[in-house]
Order: sequence, then C-alpha cells, then structure tokens
Amino acid sequence: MPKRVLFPILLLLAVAAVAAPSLVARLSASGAGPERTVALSMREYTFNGSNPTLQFRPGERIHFIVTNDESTNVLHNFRVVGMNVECGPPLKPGERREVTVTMPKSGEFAYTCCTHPGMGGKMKVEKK
Amino acid sequence: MNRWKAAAAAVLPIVLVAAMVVWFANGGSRLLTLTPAPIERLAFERVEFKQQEIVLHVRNEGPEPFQVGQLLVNDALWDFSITPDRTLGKLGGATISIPYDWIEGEPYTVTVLSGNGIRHVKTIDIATRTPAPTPRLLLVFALLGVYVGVAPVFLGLLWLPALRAAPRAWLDFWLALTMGLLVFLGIDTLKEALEIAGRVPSFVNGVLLTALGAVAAFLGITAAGRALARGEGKPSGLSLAILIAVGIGLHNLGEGLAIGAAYTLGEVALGSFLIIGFTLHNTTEGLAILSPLVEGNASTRNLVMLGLIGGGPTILGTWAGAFTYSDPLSLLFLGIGAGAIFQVVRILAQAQAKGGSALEALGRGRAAAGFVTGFLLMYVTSLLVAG
Amino acid sequence: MTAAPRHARSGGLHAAMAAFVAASLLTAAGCGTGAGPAKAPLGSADSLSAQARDHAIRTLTEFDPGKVTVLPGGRKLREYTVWAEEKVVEVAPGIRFPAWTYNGAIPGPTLRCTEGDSIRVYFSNRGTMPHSMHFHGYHPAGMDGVFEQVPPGGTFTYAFNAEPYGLQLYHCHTMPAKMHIARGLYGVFIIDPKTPRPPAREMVMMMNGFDTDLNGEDNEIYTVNGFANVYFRDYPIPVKVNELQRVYLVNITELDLVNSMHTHATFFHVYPTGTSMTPSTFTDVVTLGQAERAILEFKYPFPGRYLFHAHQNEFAELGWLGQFEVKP
Repeated sequence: MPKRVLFPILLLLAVAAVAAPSLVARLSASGAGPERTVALSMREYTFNGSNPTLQFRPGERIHFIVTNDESTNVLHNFRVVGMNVECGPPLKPGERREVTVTMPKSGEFAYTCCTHPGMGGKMKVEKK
Repeated sequence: MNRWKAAAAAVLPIVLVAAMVVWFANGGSRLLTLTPAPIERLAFERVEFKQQEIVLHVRNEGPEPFQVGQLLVNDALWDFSITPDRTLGKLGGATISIPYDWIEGEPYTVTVLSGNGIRHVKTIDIATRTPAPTPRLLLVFALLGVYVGVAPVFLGLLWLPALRAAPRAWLDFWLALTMGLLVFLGIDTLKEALEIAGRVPSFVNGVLLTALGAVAAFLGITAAGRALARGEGKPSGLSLAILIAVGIGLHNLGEGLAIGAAYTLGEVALGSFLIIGFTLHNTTEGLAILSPLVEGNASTRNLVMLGLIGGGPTILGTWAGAFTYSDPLSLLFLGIGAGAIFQVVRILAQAQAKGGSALEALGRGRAAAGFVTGFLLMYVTSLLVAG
Repeated sequence: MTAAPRHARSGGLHAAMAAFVAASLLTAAGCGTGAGPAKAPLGSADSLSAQARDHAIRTLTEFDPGKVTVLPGGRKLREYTVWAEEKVVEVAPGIRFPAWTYNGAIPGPTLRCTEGDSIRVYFSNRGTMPHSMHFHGYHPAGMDGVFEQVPPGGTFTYAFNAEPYGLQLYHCHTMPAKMHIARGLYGVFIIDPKTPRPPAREMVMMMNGFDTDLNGEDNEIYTVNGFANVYFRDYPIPVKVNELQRVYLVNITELDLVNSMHTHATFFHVYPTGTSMTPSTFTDVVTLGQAERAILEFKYPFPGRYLFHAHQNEFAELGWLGQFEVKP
C-alpha cells in the first residue's frame, strides 16, 4: 500500500527538482531580478571613447544610461538592433536617455548611433 | 532455436550498418583520399523588412559547423546582430538583424560572408514591409484569398443552368473540357513545385518531397473515390464533383501559399491586374466542378459546399504563405495538389470511357475538342498572371 | 598544418572549382592526408582577429632596417631575413583567409634602406610549393626572383645594391603570379635617397584586396595593411595639427585594375614612385594601377576626425576605410 503512495510523491519531487531551477531562472529573467546600470557616454563620435565590447549574462536586466557628452553641437542616438532598442529622438549635448533591456539567451548585438557611421560596438551575451 | 537464428539474422545487418557508421564517423573516411573539402550551405529561410531594419532567418544546411563572419548589404560591409550564436551547428539556425534604412520597392542583395570567406547571397527583388499577423492583415489576406480563389469558383458554378440547357450530346464535351482544365492545373502545379525544388537546399530533396505529396494524394483520392462510390462500381455525379472540388481545393491551397509567400518574400507586387488575372483564371475551375452535375440534380447547399471545398483553401494558403512560409511545406502541398488533380482526371476519364479505353474515349470528336478547349482556356487565362 | 580547406557554397560552380583546385593542391602538397582535412580553428577567431589587427597597426609605422654592417670603403651592408609561410590569417573580423605570407602576416615586413646600400635578403621557403621574392629596382637577372624559384624547404640569398631611390615593393613571382600575389606574398621596399627627405611622421599603407572565396573573379574584402577598416574601427590614426604627414602608398590589389586614396579636408603632394624630390601634383585623390605607388605629403590645418578611403566607394565599404584623429 505505501508503495503506491510513495511512487507518485517521488515522481512529483523528481519533476520539481528538474523544473525548479529553470522556473527560478525564468522568474528572474522576467523582471524579478535586480537591474545593473551601464553608463554610456557619447563623446567625440564614440561611445565611452573607444566603442567597447560589452559583456552580459543571459537574462540579465540592464539599465542603460546613455548621455550625449559632446562639447560641440552634435546630435546622437542609441540603438541596439535585434534587442528592440530603436533609434528614438536624437539627444542634444547634455541630454540623456534611459532604457532597460532584458538580455536574450545568447548572441552578439550591434549598438550604434543611428546617424554616425562607425560610432558603435558590440554587445556579447554568452551562453551559460 | 530457429527463431533465435531468424531474429539474429534480422538484427545482424542493422548491427553491421551501425558499426560501419560509427567507424566512418570516427575517421574511417580518411582512408578515402578523395574526400573533398566540405561544402558550405546556408539557407535563407525568411527575410523580413521592418522599420529601418532587415531581419534574416538563416539555417546551416551543410555538413560542418557554419560561422557567420561578416554581413554585406548591396556589397557593403554592415553592422549586424546575431542570435543565438555566430557559429551555427549542423542544421542550426540563427536570426540576423541589420540596421538598414531600406527603401520600399527597391531591390536588395544581402550577403553572408562565412568565416571561410565564402559568399552566401540572397537577392530580394522588391523590398516590402513584412506583414505581421494583425487582425487587419489577416482580413486583407483573407480578402485576397476570396478574390483569387473563392469568388471565381462560385462564379464558375453559376454556369450550371446554362450547362444543363445545353444539348445532352455535349456532355462528353464538358467532361473532356474539365479534364483539359485539370490536366493544365496539374502540370502548372508540378511546374511551380519544380521551381521551388530548384531553390531549396539539396538535402531537402524537393522533387522527391513533391512526389511524396503527389503519390499520397493520388492514393488518398482513390480511396476516397471508392468510399464515395459506396461499392456501386461507378461514382455518382455529386461524388465526382466533390472529388474534383477536393483536387481543385488542394491546388488552390498551393496557389494561395505561392501568392502569400511571393508577396512576403518581395517577389511580386500584387497589383490589381494580377488579382484580376487570377480571378479570371480561376473562374474556369468552377466550370470544372460542374461537369458531373449536368445530369441529375444538385441542391444549392451542395453547390455552396462544393464552392467552399474548391475555393476556401486559397484563404488558408494566403495566410500560411504570408505569415509562416516555408519552402519544404509548399513543396509537399503542391505535390498533394498535383496528385489529387491527376487522380481526379483519371476518375473522370474512367467515367467517360464507360468501361472502354479512356484514351480512345477522349479521342472522339467532341471529347477531343473539349479537352483541347479546356487546356486552351486555362492557357489563355494564365497569360494574365504570367510574370 | 598550413592552409585551411576551402569551402564552396552550393550552386557556385566557380567556388566549387576553386575548392576542388585548392583541395587537390593541398593533397598534392601532402597535407591532405593523415589527419583528415585541415580545419581552421573556429574557437580562436578572436585571437586571429587580434593578430591581424595588431599586425596592421604595427605595419603602419614599423620599418625593418635590417642588420647593418659598415663595409670597408664605407658602404653599408644590410641583411634581412624573410621566409614564406602558408598560414590562415584574418582579413576582417571573423573572416579567415588561407594566406601565403612573408614572415607570417600580410603584408610582409617593410624593408628599408638607403640608396647605394648593399642588400642581402636571406630567403627561405617554409611553404609547401615553390615561392620567390621579386624586387622592383635595379639588379642582375639572377636576382630577379623569376627564373630562380625556391622549392619548399629551399633557401636563396638575394644580393644587389639598392637602386634607384624611391618607393619600391617586393612580391612573389612564382606562376601563377596572380594567385601568389592575391594570396598575400608582398611587402613594401623603401630606398631612401642619400639626401634624406625632410622630417615627417611616416606611415606605410599597402592597399590590397582579398578574394576570400578564391573564385579568382573579384575581391570580397579590401584593406590597407591587411585588416578591414582597421584605421576606422580599431585604430584611428592619431596625428597633430600642422604636423607633416608622409604616407608611403603602394597598390598591390589584384583582380581590380586600380585602387585609390582620398583624404578628407586636406590636399597632398604626390611624388610618383618616390623617385623624385619634386612633387608632380597637388590633389586629394590619387589613383594607382597594380603595383603602382606614390609618396604623399600633407598636413591637417584643423583638429577633428577625418576619413581617408578608396574613392572607389565599393572598396571603401568593403573595408578600405580609415580615419585620422587630428589633435590640436
């Protein structure tokens, strides 16, 4: 008799054990996790002076603060193609744009200024 | 003991083949000094044009991992995003997003330059904003299906009274005309399939996939025909009409797919002229369904049902083609359409032959004229959609 | 291993033929057997990129003066070591190219000397097929690098006096020369005049193209000094306002008839082949045929970022694009 009860319980436990980590991961990916802030300064037609390659973890919530720090009157914008961060209205010097993105599972993404060729770099999301 | 021997004999070839595969996969092929350099194959499954963005869906259909090295739009290096990975495993897919201010209606060439420096090129003749399946667009494509498929078939069905008023002696003519129409459609469907088969990666075996669909439909309709005949030995007029409608419906499904996909893939501009062309062309399909109904009576309900069977699938086709197009699936459906049509032709031919030789029956004066007229009618109306 | 196997795309007859030819070459060269087809390491793409990028940046300002000895009588002897090596390099981020190189990278080292110097180039062939070095300049027939082919494993010493002064070059002259050059066997050879040119910031720019799919018809990638867009993306060239810039510009592009250089926001003096101290033209675009070269001298009057590129914009957008970052 106890065997009959025991088996479904074990099965349930096994399923829970397998499902739990992915469930937790999904929860954290869907906004429950903390955000990390990444500041990008647009100056001299570059991001942060050198258009760096940025590394992220899958599912990470990133809060981008993008500031136009040009000393001359140049307009810039910020776009990450493939991540649904569209050009948006151009930023005047001193203006900033904040956007929060949940990183996808993996891939390489180009971040660019929509108007200036060569101004931009790569974001890499490495598989776990 | 013998049973064991038999079992062993059954399993032995499988074991040996498995052993051979393992040996070969683990470097046994090195002994074959003719092993050529592996061939790279990259399939462009779908190209989407979004706001200031081009999205490519690619798949590695070669035997080795494929690395996306650089991306070119109209022969210029361009920024791109790629997910899930730059390196595509065997049969692995990736989505490539390109920030590009494309212009509606212009042609574009996108090139994936592989890690080995090989060009993989996709040309889009006409860039068109890719439709997303919004309720409005579903309606637009449904309407398109109604224009090119459903309405024409119903219009054709309106000829029934006229056909009935015509002299009985002309029945052979109408039946043969129907066969002419159908044979044209069958060939047209196969031609379409062969065109697609030419562009799919060779591992898909496009022609054989079409053949699979054709054979399955051919046998399926045979079985259906037998069931409908209910052992009478000879199918009734209505059941024949249903079979014809099914064949035409399957053909229209393929046609809808082609229209929807061509629109989405930027291969045609769907102008009103093309739509009118399809409408005229397909009106003759309604005529084809009617011929077995000239004798006997068919209720309005039956006619509506026949029209829906024959024309309705066009809507399903345009939807599928526009929103979820896939070449291999189209091949299968086109094959099914062709197989169904040829089997319906066979049934009609038997009905006309009344037990004699089908070919001989077709060769008689009115029948021959009808067959040629039907074929010609289709040919002439097809000129309206040529391009 | 040496070169990677070439991969052909389906349906591309030429690509397939190129792959077949390459594969049979490899097999004939004895490296298609034993370990199976050679594979370019997929995982090391980043380090290959870094190597090519660093090489291009170094090539801009690195000159090899050779080992200098003063001979009795005052003449200088310069000795250089050059080898041919077949090697996979990157020509753009993520694009591998089965190159044939001098000293392991494209272009080969910039050999520099002064008019009248006695030159010895100790050449060894570490490749799997014959190679050679053919110098532009005066030299005896036996030093021409055409009839004296150096077999795999072989060596040869090129000995001649450096004449005439100017911007010269060297390249492999093994048949088919088009292929040996297209695969990367070339470098710059500068013979300075006895009276030196005025002081300037000096740069070498070797314009080339890479037929990465080896179909022999066209180049997929164009570069200066071997890596696409290197002075645009990776290393905008830092210069100063009103500082004299001198560019040793050499065109070694195969498969295209000409290549060119255009500077934004400034004009340059052109010294064709560097064989005169008097400039021939004052312009902002110079177009060079294959193996043609010119010395360009210019200054930037204003600070800022300025593009320079081939004015065949097709080449520019396939990798031949750079920028000067002019500081006050």
